[in-house]
Amino acid sequence: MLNCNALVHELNNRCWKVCSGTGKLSTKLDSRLETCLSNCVDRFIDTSNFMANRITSLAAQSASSDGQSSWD
Amino acid sequence: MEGADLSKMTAAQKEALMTQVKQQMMLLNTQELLSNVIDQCFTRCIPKPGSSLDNSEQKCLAMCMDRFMDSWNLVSRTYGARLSLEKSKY
Repeated sequence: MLNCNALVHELNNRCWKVCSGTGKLSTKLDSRLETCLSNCVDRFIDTSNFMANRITSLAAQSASSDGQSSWD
Repeated sequence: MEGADLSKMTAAQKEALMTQVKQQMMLLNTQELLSNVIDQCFTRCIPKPGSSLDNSEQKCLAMCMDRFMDSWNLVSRTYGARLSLEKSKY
């Protein structure tokens, strides 16, 4: 549960930077900013999953080849 | 909390321990949030540090903190929803 929280902080830090940039701050999150933040979280998770899957495939390919690593 | 033996605790003692754990986690969470909001909002609001924080800088900092916390709540909800979604696939 503590780990969960650490990830939310990480996500918020990144997505706040990406989405609010240097634009003007206002008295609430406008809908564009909300959409950006929400997309950012989902795309970050998609990216994590994509990378994890890909590295597994690359490792499997590398293991089944003649032993030469694909990232030497 | 060192050497807490759950098996020897009454229900009331367990509940008291849970409350203590939750409070400690909330404190850690607040400390983390504070550290991050200071970092992000200083960068945002004080591009040219002067000899004091003027009114507009203070207003910016206050608004930045409010929006950053709104953002945290939204990110937390979105992440929670995504977790539920992923769990429901299995």
